[in-house]
Amino acid sequence: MSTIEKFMNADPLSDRLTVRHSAAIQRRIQQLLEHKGWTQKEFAKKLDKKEPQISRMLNKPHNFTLRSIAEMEEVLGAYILNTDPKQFGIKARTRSLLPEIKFDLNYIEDKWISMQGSNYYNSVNSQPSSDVILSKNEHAFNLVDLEGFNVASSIENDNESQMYHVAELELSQVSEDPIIYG
Amino acid sequence: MLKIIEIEALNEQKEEITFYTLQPVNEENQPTGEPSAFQDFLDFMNCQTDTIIQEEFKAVRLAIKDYLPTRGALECFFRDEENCSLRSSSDMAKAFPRHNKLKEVYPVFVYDEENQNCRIRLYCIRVDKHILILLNGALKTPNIRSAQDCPKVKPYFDFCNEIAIALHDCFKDNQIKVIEDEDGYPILDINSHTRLNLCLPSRNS
Repeated sequence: MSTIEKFMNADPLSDRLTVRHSAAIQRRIQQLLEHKGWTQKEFAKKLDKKEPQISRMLNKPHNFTLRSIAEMEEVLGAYILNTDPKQFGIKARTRSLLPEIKFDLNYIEDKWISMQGSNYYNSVNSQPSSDVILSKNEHAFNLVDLEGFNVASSIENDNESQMYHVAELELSQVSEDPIIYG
Repeated sequence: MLKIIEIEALNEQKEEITFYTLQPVNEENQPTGEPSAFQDFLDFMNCQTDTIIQEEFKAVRLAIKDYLPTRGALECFFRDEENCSLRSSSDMAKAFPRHNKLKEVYPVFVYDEENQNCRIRLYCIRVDKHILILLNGALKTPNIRSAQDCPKVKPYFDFCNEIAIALHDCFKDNQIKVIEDEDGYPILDINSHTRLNLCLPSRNS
């Protein structure tokens, strides 16, 4: 086995996944902070923690607990861990507990959602498409139907646009003022 | 002479970083058969039998394979190792890991010896958040404050600084550029004739 192969195969997958999950959670938190325009200091204050504690948590591999993640989700008003069953092909309806933030449609049209060249607003009123395209600079949200059930979620990625399958979205349930969790 | 090569095994899954290292080459630009800078480091570390050093090495391995590719080569992950007495105007010379204490380096796992000082120094050139050139390194002698005063790591520290200067000049001359590959990932575009007129430090030094 070559030196590089030995290096690549030296560690159990579970160890590698632990590090990857830690890094992915940190990346997600950083994105949400940037989206909100919060500094680490402001975030620390909202969490009632000291800034160095938050800095350590975000800038070194960290063993997050579910409790600490939930507390940050509450403060950020957005999910850090996304276990939306639709992403995994699981048929389930899971109600979001995060507070609703409503945006007017013009804002959505301009900033949030486009659909294959047109925009979400237009497509609601004309021929719907089964995919929503998020522009690359936008951030996480959960698109929910009027009953509050999740129909599409973003796992944002600053590098590329992503497509989200929302075929199961019943467009008749979407009002002209759709609810978006920010 | 040395040329910059991709570490393909680390770059198979395109992520936040493209990793490079330096390969010794002859006049015809062909590999001499000597290990690359990063292979030299790995060979050195694989020979270490001390349990604590092995734990440290594991932390560094996981950081390179899994942490940095997910987060990118953020400045805060590296210690600045620029030798101020050299003429380099570059701040690319770095060492990994940044923190001294094992518990600071790698708190995801709890070690019995968590207060042990981290001795590994892996030197690297951080071009930007997405491009990292891994060089070689050694174990810093405990109780010696700076890398320049430690006979074990000084050759690698000096080499890293020399490389940083040479690369800085290559970037200035456009012999090396950062471009995007066909998938939009930042990579180095290296003139095929570009070689660095330096040798890897001898492991016996």
